[in-house]
Amino acid sequence: MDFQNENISRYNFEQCTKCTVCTVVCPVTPVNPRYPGPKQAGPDGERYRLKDSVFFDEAFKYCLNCKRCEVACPSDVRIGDIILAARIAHTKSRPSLRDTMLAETDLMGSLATICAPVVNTTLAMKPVKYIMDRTLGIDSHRRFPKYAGTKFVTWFRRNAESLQADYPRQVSYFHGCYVNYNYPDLGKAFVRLFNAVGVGVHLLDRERCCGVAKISNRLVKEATRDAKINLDAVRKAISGGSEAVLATSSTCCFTLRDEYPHMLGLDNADVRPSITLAVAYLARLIESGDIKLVFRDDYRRRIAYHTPCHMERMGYTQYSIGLLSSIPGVELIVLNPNCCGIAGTYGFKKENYQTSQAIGAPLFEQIERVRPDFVATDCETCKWQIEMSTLQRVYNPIEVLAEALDFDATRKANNLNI
Amino acid sequence: MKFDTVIIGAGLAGITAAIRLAEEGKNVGLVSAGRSSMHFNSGALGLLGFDTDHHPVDDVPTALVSLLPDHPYSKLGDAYVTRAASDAADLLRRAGVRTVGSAVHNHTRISPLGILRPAWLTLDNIATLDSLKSLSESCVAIISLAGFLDFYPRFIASSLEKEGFRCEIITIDTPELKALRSSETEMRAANIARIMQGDTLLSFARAIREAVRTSEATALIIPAVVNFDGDGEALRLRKAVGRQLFYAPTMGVSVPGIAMHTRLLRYFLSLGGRLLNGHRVTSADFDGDKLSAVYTDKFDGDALRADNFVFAAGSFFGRGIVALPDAVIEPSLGLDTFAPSDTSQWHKPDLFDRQPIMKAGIAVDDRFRALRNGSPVTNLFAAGAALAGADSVREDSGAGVAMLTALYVADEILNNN
Ligand SMILES: Cc1cc2nc3c(=O)[nH]c(=O)nc-3n(C[C@H](O)[C@H](O)[C@H](O)COP(=O)(O)OP(=O)(O)OC[C@H]3O[C@@H](n4cnc5c(N)ncnc54)[C@H](O)[C@@H]3O)c2cc1C
Ligand code: SF4
Ligand code: SF4
Repeated sequence: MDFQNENISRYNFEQCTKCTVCTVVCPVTPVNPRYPGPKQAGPDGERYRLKDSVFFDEAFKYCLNCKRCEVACPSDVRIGDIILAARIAHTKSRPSLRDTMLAETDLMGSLATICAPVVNTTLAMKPVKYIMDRTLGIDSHRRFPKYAGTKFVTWFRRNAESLQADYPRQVSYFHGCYVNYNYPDLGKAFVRLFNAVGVGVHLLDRERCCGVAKISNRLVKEATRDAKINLDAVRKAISGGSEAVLATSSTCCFTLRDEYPHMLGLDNADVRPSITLAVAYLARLIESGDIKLVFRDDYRRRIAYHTPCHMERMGYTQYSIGLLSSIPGVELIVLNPNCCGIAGTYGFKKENYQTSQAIGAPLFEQIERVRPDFVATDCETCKWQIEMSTLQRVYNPIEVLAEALDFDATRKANNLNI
Repeated sequence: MKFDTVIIGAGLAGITAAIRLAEEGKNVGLVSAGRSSMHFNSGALGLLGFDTDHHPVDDVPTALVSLLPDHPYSKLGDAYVTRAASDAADLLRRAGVRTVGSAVHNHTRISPLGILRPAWLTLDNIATLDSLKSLSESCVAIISLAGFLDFYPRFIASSLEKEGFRCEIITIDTPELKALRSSETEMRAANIARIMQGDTLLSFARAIREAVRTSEATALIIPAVVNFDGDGEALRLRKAVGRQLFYAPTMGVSVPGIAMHTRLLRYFLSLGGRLLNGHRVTSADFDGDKLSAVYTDKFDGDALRADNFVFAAGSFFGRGIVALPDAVIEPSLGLDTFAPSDTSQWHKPDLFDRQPIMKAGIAVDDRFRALRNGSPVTNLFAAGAALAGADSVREDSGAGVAMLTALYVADEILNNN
């Protein structure tokens, strides 16, 4: 009995009943026959690898780390974790210059923002794309997300920061690289929306990239360094009076909550429940009656919602779906579960471009068929991929809520006269 | 999060109850930890395939009478079973799952091992003995795929030959199947089905057409490796092959089972149902004789509240109930279970004998309210394989118990309000 209880392996791998349900949902299996599939790469192979790392297969790099296998597994085996941990432990080659560049989102972002107009045009130029394709292996079909001229943080410090302390509740915002460098509009919408319901917004003392790209590109040392800075900043924010640390990106949120302890071995149990997604925080406060959202009468939209893989893994999908469908003028279509194929930096790599597009194809087809006014999703890389592969624009649910909100009525409903 | 009803477990029982309630306009939250045993359903549903003496059942109402009083069917009553069985087929049809079969007389289907077995409902397109017998010629070709180990054409042939058929076995291969085999562990039915679209499907059809050109067979039986996703692949293949075509189930994760799961779930979602995918219920709050909230492993203490709850977490598969060395427990809500208290009584030495542990499950009162510390939780109803009293594998009653008890508890909930 005790022996049974104490003999639990990492990632629950010994719980596997060999049912093969995980292979049914893996997005890579049907499009890349060289990939051994989650069961083989995960719990099956792990038994051999524990004996000898010759059983490691370089083809594991085709795993997207989407964790859809884990959501499907009836026995709670953490298959995606097993595979990623094996890649980190056993891959012989060092991460290439290209992988390092793609993963260094902070460094690249800082450099690029300073010279945004130049970088945007340069990254879009055919010869540059050709050279990146040939020398670095970054696929030339890829459109790079545009870098904004003014970082979100700069905007926040200039325009919003001084007003925040006056609100009755306080949260901190983990904006992530994407909001900071590429899409400050989402950050601005976040601040407007939260202020309207009486919640003041703060930045973390220090914020580094969540590290998802570094982890999946096996840059563990660098990821751990950043993760420790982030966790310290989260702890400081919570002890300094923030109710929660909120992200608008499902992947940032997932990385801080789950990949830090599982992949980097960092204990975050003390603050994990305080780190959550903005939609989860809002939904909980609305249900408890602490805040109210009032929407514009004239807002009419047909919206297709795409569930990002890590959103599904966190189990948070219903928060976004619930909030979006609470807007009276919204007709919400929930798209069939299907990975978009980009998986962060994965789809940017030349060797993965075809796989990446093939994985997303059913999703793109459904979006074109449904013909919504726009697509809503909680992940920025899903947004790039869908905008690149369909004719649709993609917005974060927070932006949609902010767009549909009747600000004056909402402020009144929340008794605000600031 | 607040719902009218929260359902724990999204297998055949949970989804059936969820659909029934959502059809009546209820706000339903369906909580699902991992995929269900429906993924192994071989394209046929059992109501009662074998009686207590393990004889195949033809006339179901007669066999019902002989069941023990602790059997879920005995609790439902024979008349209810027969009536609800046809309601269940209607519900499947509304969800886009077409079946053949009757609640009174079983028909004969082909099992994944090629054995002829009684069935209640068989999915459209899947071979039954009746469908084969209705053919003008009794000559069939069984198509087998090179390198595919989850299908046993010889066994099917020997079963059908006993019924007077002439059978021919033809093995085919295509470049696409060859490519799939380069990862040999991935040559499984579901993986084949996922590539069987567009050109790959046409290449498959061409290979079949070529291989049966000189065969006299009027009908072909092929393994169920074509996507039944409602996108018409099965129909397209039939057209492209140009002969009568039936599917036979395979071992392992089953393509018709996945298709049934997908359609039922999509229907539930189309009714406005809310799915909490990947959540495992781990604890609960009770308020007197009522369940007031359940908690999952994903929500950091955010409760799922509802007026009524359905426990449909299945049996040992999926861990609705768990066998410890000395007891069978229900791990999430601490419900009462029923299993022989002496563990030496759990198993019989002969594997094919009746195994008493297979009847283990949670205990309910006569209205299917779950018991906790000996008394019913008045707003918690239980359905499906989670229930004690049925030996669903031996009796082949799994789908029937799941759907009929689910319909019953849904009606209890609707009538209570
Ligand atoms: C391998 C196999 C093959 C079968 N083949 C057939 C067949 O061909 N025909 C037939 O008629 N019957 C078949 N059966 C019988 C089958 O059990 C029933 O038909 C029926 O599908 C049972 O449905 P259920 O919903 O009660 O349970 P399940 O299908 O087991 O579903 C229960 C679900 O609840 C989830 N769950 C468990 N605990 C929790 C929790 N705490 N929180 C949230 N979710 C939870 C599980 O993960 C699972 O998804 C088969 C059974 C098995 C195991
Ligand atoms: S789904 Fe889980 S239990 Fe089944 S084979 Fe995969 S890892 Fe094993
Ligand atoms: S994490 Fe995603 S890509 Fe990797 S094995 Fe699991 S399902 Fe497949």
